[in-house]
Amino acid sequence: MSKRLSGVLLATALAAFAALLFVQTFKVRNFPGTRFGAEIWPRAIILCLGLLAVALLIQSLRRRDAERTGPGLGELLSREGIAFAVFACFFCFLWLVPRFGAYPAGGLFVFAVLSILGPKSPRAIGLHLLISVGMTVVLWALFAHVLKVIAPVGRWWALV
Amino acid sequence: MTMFDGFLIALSGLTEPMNLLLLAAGVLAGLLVGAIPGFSITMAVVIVLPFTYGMDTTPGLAMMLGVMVGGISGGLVSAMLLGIPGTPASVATTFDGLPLVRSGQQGFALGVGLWASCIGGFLSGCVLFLLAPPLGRIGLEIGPWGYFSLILFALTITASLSSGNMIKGLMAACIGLLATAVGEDQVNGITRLTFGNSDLNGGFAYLPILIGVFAFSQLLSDMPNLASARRSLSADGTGDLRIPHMRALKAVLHHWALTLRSTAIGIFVGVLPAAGASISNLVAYDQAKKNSRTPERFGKGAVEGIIAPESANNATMGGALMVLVALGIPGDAAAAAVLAALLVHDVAPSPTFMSESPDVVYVILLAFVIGHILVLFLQTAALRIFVRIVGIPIYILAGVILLYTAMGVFAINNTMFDIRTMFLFGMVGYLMVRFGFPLAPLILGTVLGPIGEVNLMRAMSISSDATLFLSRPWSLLFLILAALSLLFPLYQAQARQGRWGYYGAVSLFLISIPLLMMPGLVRTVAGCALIAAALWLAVRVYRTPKFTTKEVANGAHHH
Repeated sequence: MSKRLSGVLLATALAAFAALLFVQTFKVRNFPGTRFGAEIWPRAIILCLGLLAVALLIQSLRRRDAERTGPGLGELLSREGIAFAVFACFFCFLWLVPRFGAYPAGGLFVFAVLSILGPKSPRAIGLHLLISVGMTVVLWALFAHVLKVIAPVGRWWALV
Repeated sequence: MTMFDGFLIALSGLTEPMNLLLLAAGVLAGLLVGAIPGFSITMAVVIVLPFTYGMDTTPGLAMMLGVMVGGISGGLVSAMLLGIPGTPASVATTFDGLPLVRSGQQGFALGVGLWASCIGGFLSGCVLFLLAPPLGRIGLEIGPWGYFSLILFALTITASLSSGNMIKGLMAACIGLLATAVGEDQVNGITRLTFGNSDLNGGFAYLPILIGVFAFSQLLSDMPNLASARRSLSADGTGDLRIPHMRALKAVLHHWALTLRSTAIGIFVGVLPAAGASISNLVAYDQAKKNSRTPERFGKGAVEGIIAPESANNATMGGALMVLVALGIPGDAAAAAVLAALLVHDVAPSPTFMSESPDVVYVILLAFVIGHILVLFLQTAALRIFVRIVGIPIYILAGVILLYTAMGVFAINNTMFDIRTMFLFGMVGYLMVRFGFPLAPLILGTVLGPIGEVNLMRAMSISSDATLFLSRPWSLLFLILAALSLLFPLYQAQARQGRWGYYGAVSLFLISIPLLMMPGLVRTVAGCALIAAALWLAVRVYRTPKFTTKEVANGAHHH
C-alpha cells in the first residue's frame, strides 16, 4: 500500500468518524432554558477534528510517492502479529474475568502471552507456567491483602 | 492558613519516618523503572500509583513525587551502561556517557551524571520554592477566558513540537479532548456521545486512558518482532559499578557555570507547555558544546557532555511542577501523569491551589527537593537491582507488567469498565503510534479537556460576549502564543534558510501588545523591552545583505 493511499484511507476514516460523532451530538437533550448546551463543547471539537481530517486528506492527496512504499496487507499482518496476539490475549482476559475470576484469568493471560511470544521448548513453557503462577500469587497477595482490593471472583466458581 | 504555616505543616508531615520511607521507596522504584530502556517516567508513575490508592495525601504524594524524581534520574543509568536512554530525557547523556563508560570509567561516569542530576534538580527545587507563589498569584489574575486560551496554547504548542506532522498532532489533541467529552457534561450532567450505552454515561476515566495508551504502546513498541521480544537488555558495561562520589562531585563543581546554565535552560524549558525534558537535555548539550573551549572532545567522553543534559533534565521537572502547582496545567505527558497521581489523592491543582492548600503545595515542593537528596543514597542499591532486571527478556516483563497495570486500573474504582477503557485506548494508542500520531497531545487533551470545558462555560456564563477572549490581556497573550505556535513549522522552515528575523520581530511585537495592556510597571517595562527587541531585530534584518535561496543553500549567510 502506498503512503498516499494509506494517508487517504486514514483521513477518510477519521472524517467519517467525525461525521458519525457530529450526528450523535444532535441527540443530546438539554434541560429547558440551558444557556450553554452540553453538545456545544464536543461539537466544536468534532468540527476541528473533521476539518483536520480534510486537511490530512488534502495533504495525502498532494503526496507524490504513489509508488508502493509501505508493507502490503499480508506483510502488515505478519509485522503486527505480536500486537495482535497481545491484544487478543488481553481481550480473552477481559472475557474470562467475570467468569473465571480476576486472578486465575490474569494467570492465564500471562501464561498465554509468555508462551506465544517466548520460546516454545518444554523448559521454557515450564518456566512460563512458573512465572504465571508466581505472578498470580504475588498479585493476589498485593491487591487482595495489602491494597484490600475486592477483585471479581468469577461466576464459574460459584457452580463448583 | 499562611504560606509559612503551610510550609511548617508540610515539613513536619513529610519528615515523619514513614513518609520519608515511602518517599525513598518511590525514588527507588522510579530509579529502577526509569533505568529500563523504553519505560518512561509515565510508566513508573503508572506502576507505582496503585500502591498509593489507600494512602493519605502526604504519604501518597511523597511516594509519587519520589517516583517522578527517581524516574528522571534513573534514565541516565541505561543511557550510560547500555547506550540506550532509559527515558527520552536522557538521550543526550548517551553521547558522552557511553564513550566514558567504554573507556572503563563507568563508576565515574555514573557519579558525574548522578551529581549533576541531583544538583540540577535541587537548584530547580529551590527556584520552585521562590517562584511558585508569585506564579500562583498570577494564576488568580488569568480568569476563565485566559485559562481557556492557555489550554488552547498548551495543546497547539504540544501538537506543533511533538510531531513532524502538525495536523496529526492537532488531531491527537482533538481525540484526547473528545475522549473526555463522552458521558455527562461538566456542569449539568447531561449525557452525550454515549450511543445509548449506559456504561458510557460516566465517561472514560482519565487514568485508564493514560495507562492504556502508554502501557500498550510502549511495551509493544519495544517488541517489534519475536527476536526483540526475547532479548534481554543486559550489556557488558555493567561490571564494576562502584561510584567515586568525591571525584564525581569535584568534576561537577569544577564546571559550576555549566551546571548553573544547564539548570536554567532546564527550568525555562520546563515552564513552557509541551517542551519537556526530552527537549531540554538536547538544548543544554548543544549549548554546552557551543560554549566549550574544547568542543572536539564532545562525543568522546567529555564530562561536560554528561553534566549539561543531566542537570537540565532534572531541572525541567522543577519548571514543569511550578506551572502544575501554580496554574494546574501539566506541561507534558510526564507532568500529566503526575497530575493524575495528584487527582487520585483528591489534590486538584488550580489557580487557587496555592492560596487554599499551601500545606499540600509545600509537600509537593519539599518532596521534590528531598527526593533529589535521596537519589544520591539510593542509586547504588538501584544499580544492583537494575543489573538483574535488565537480564530478564522483554516479553516476560511485558506480560507481567500488562497484567499488573490492568489490576492497578481495576483498583482505582473497582470496576471492569476501567480495564475495558484501558484496553480500548491501548489499541487507540498503538494504532496512533503506528500511523505516526504523537501521543503527548492525546494525553494532554484528555487532562485538559474537562478543565477547558469548565472554563469555557464559566466564561460564557459570565458574559456571552466572545470578544472578551481578545480584550482580556492574559487571554489575548495565550491566543497570540497559540497562533504563533501553529506557525512554528513555518518559522522553522524560514530559520533553516536564515530568514527568521522578520518572523521573530513580528512575534515579539505581537507578544508585547497584551503585556502593555496589563496593569503594573514590570509588565509595561517588559512590553516596552519586547518592542525594542522587535525593532532591533527588524533593523538588523533590514541591514543584513539578502541572499538567494541558492546562496543560502551553499551556506553564504554563515560568512
